[in-house]
Amino acid sequence: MKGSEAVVEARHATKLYPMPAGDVRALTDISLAVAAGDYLALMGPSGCGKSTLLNLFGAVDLPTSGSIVLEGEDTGALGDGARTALRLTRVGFVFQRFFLLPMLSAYENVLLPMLEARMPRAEREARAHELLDYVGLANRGDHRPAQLSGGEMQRVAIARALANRPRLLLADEPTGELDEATGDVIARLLARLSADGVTIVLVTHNPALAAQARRTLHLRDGRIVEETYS
Amino acid sequence: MIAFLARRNLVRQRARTLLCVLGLAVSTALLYDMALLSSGLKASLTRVLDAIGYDLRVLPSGGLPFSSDAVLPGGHALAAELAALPGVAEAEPLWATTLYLEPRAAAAAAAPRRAVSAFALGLAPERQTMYRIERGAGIPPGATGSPAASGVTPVVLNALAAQALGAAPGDTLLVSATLDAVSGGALRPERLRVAGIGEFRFDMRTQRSLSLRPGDLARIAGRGDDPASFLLGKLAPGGSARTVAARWAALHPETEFHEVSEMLAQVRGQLSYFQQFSLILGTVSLLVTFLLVLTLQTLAVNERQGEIAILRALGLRAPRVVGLVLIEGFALAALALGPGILLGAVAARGLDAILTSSPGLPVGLSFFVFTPGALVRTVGLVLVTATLAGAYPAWLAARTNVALTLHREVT
Repeated sequence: MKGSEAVVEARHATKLYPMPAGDVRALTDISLAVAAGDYLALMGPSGCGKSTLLNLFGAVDLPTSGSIVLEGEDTGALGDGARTALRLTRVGFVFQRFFLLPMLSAYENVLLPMLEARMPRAEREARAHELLDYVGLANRGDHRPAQLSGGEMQRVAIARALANRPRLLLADEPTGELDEATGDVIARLLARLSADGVTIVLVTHNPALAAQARRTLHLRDGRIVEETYS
Repeated sequence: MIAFLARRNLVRQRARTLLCVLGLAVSTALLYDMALLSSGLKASLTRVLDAIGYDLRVLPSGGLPFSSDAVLPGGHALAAELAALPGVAEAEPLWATTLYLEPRAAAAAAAPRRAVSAFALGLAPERQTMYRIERGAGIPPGATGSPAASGVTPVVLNALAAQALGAAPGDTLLVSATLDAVSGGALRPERLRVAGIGEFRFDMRTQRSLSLRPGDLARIAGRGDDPASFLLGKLAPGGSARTVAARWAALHPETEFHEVSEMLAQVRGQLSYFQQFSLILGTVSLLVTFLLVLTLQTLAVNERQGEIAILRALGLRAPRVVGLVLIEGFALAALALGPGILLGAVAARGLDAILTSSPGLPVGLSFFVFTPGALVRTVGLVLVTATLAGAYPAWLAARTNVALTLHREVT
């Protein structure tokens, strides 16, 4: 795969967490490219570095050595402001625990990234309604997170992640807090997003969810140990 | 957007926000009261002196602040001399002494007579600014020194004197400068007619006062030397008090010459302990404001680390997170301003009533006086202090480690 085609690319990325008892090595010399439209699943035991890699891809964290190139930008060479702007406009995050803001309605949660990106009012309002409709929650926009089920909250979180039309959707165990049936709903939604051309990198322990990805990387002790294609 | 989020955050924690606003309102009330107190007496004194409208004061040597025993003989001639100096617009003599009064009916009654003493001011009615008529009429201008054509001399009483004498406008009183030790009444009294009841600007709270034409007062007191306790002068536009003082000192070295503004400055200096008192308590109230906002916002930021990490992950820049926390502190203070100022105004009214009931204070003086400056200072200080108090929690919020916090929130 050519680097120019990659939405995000890790180049010999290593991540160490400094601890009083000595550095903890989360990732070691990871090189990996995710092409536009790709659907990649990261699997492996807890603590193998999956979420760390996701954070590096999303410019939430920086590698200790090596580099992450997101949409052609070396995240390590950017200041905090530029990295934040990159997250706002190019990356969508979906978390295991949804992380919706509890004081906002579902509609307002979806609206939030567009407000920050200063999208024109009419456009952002139409987009928020469109996204809630896309995830099947058009009639729940006025509800607060506390009034929604786990699956509904995760669908709102996916709608929020898509708000600014990101090139890359990062999902960290999106079905981890959900029962099997609800997890299937989210899995189908992600598959639909992939089919619509969204680039997805997914961390999961769920083999069924990973199976719908085109590529699956298995990590162990901070290294890629296996790559499979479906 | 951050204002919208700040509002939602404050509404979400209604009880906490309400308690914090109440606490801030109390400290704001204290600060407002201290702002009123620090400038209150000064403003009040200035207001009274401005109402009287004189810039210069000439007294017998050693007569400050006031002595009814020390007099300047030939008061009108001296006043004319002062008024003739370059830079002086006009001048008036003022003489004050004690008179004894009793109701006219009491002198004829069989009951024991008891005259009432009162502080009498000799003032030209057409130019006086020392009292304001509240009921009845003022003293008509006219010749003085001999009884009026009707044989009855007009007088203006203050409310306390009128109350003590049971007098109302139109009533007749008996007056003398001497008390009859045998009868307890006024000795060889002259008749006065109450023209009106007025509020006298420098009255003490328990003081009975009256005003007569200067000539009437001198006649009743049996003084033919036209005495003056002091002279009051107004500067002409562009007139220099220093120049007038130098000229007057050369002419009358036996007198003291004072600028009212200088005397005011001296009084202000003597009242500086009120300013120190209000400065200390005002600082304490600001400290309370600071600590309240600092504590609440630090707790809120620590509780909301996860939310802050989410906002940062979603693309909210660090300065925006700082702004969010600062706006919340500012909003808490802004919400407290209304009830705080109201509470302060009510407390100031009560405190002023207590303090001004002290004996020996002129009626027109107040300790807590509203000035736009006091209000602006209070509002500005509270808002700035609360915003600054948000700086530390805002810094905490800005340095949130997004990846680590998100990891902690999950595990």
